[in-house]
Amino acid sequence: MTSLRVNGVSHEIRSDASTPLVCVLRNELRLTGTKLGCELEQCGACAVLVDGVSTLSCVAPVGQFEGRDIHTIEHTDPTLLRVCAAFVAAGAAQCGYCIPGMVIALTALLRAGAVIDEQAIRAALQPHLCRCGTHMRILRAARSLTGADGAQ
Amino acid sequence: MSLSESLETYRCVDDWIVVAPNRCITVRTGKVDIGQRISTALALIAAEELDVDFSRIDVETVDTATSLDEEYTSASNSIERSGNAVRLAAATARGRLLELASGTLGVERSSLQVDDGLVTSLATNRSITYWELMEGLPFAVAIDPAVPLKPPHQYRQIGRQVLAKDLIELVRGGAPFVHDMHMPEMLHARLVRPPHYHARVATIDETIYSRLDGGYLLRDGSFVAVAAEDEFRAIRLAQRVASAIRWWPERGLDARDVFQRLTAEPSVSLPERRGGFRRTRSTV
Repeated sequence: MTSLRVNGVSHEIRSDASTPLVCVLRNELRLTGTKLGCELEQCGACAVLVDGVSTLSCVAPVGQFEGRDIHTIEHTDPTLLRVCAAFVAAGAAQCGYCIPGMVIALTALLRAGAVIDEQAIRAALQPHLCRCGTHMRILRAARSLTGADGAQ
Repeated sequence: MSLSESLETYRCVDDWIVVAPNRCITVRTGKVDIGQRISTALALIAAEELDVDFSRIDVETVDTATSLDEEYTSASNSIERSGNAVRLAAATARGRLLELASGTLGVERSSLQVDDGLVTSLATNRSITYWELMEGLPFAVAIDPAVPLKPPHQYRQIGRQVLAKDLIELVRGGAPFVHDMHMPEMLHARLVRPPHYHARVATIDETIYSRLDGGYLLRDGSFVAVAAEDEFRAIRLAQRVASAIRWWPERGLDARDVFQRLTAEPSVSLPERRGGFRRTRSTV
C-alpha cells in the first residue's frame, strides 16, 4: 500500500502501486481537476507539482511518489491562486481542459524564483498543448504575472 | 422578425425564463456551452432585456432529459436561434412584470423604471422587485414576437466586459467534464485505434479472449474497444488487445513523403477574397 501526501493530506492508497499517479488522483481520491489527456506524457494536461516541480502524472506509477509532496490544481497555495487569477483576468480558457496543467507549470516557474522572461514562460509551457488555440491569451496571462507584458 | 425555429417549438416565456426564488433569473436553452461562452452571451442578452444584473442570471446546464431541444450546438447558429428566443422571451417577461407592478403599485406603467430587478414608480417612489411580483409562479404567457426590444444605444451591459460564466471553476479544475463523472458500476473504456484511417482488422489472436482479466472486449468489424472497472486496467488491456491484432494494410501514408503526397493530390484553386463580405439581405 502506498501512502501519498496530496495537498497536505496523507492518504493510504488502495490502487496498485503500478497505477499512474493521475488515475489515483482522479479515481481514488476524486481530485478530478487534474486531467488525463494523451496518456503518453505528450500533452501536459496531467501536470501536478511534486516537491514544487511541475511533473506529468499520466505514466509514472503512484509508488514512485511515496513521501513526496504533491500539489494539485485543487490546492490553495497563494502562488497557484495568483496564477489562476491571471488566467481568469486574461480570459485564458476556452474549453479549459488543458488549463489546470498550464496553471501548474506556471506556478512551478514562479515558485522557482528565477528570472521570468518570455523565454522562460515559453519553455515552461512548451510541454503543454491547447487544441482550442487559446495560446495568445495564455501567454498574456503568464506575462501579467511577471510584469513582462509592458503595458500592465 | 420571423420566429426562429426554436421559438416555434417553445412559445411560452416560461420555456426560456424562470424567475428563481433566490433573487436570480434562470435562462433555459438547448445550446451547450463547450467553451464558446454561449451561456455568457445568453446571460448578457437576458440581463439586458430584463434590466437585471448579469451576475443574477444563471444559465441552466443543458440536460437531455429536461432542457429545450434546439438540435445541435453547431454552425454558429446559437445566437441566432437561442439568442433571439431568449431576447424576445426576456422582453416579453419584462413587459409582463411591469404590468404586474403597475397593478400592485397602483400606478401607470409609464411611470415605472427598472434597476436590477427592482421596479420603482417615479410618480410615488414606491417599489417592488421582480421576485416579490412573481413569488415563484410561472408567467404563463406566450412570447410576443413583436414585443418592443431595447434599442442598442440604451444597452448598459452588452458590450461591457464581464466575467465569463464558469471561468473561475474551469481554471481551477472544478468545472466537471464528462470524463470527471463517477457513476455507480461505471466502466472505463478505451478504443483500440488502427494505425491509420484505412486499416482494417485482418486477424485477432483468439487467445486474447481468455486474457481479458475480467475486462471486456467489444468488436464491431474493425471498431475495437475495451472496458474495465479500473481505468488503468482498461489502459493496459487496450495495449494488450492492440498487440493481438494484425491490421491490413499495416502501413498508411509514409510520413517522410507527406508534403509531396499532399501537393500531388488533385486540387481545386479558389480565388482569395479580401476585405470581408458585403452585408447581403437574406432571402428566406
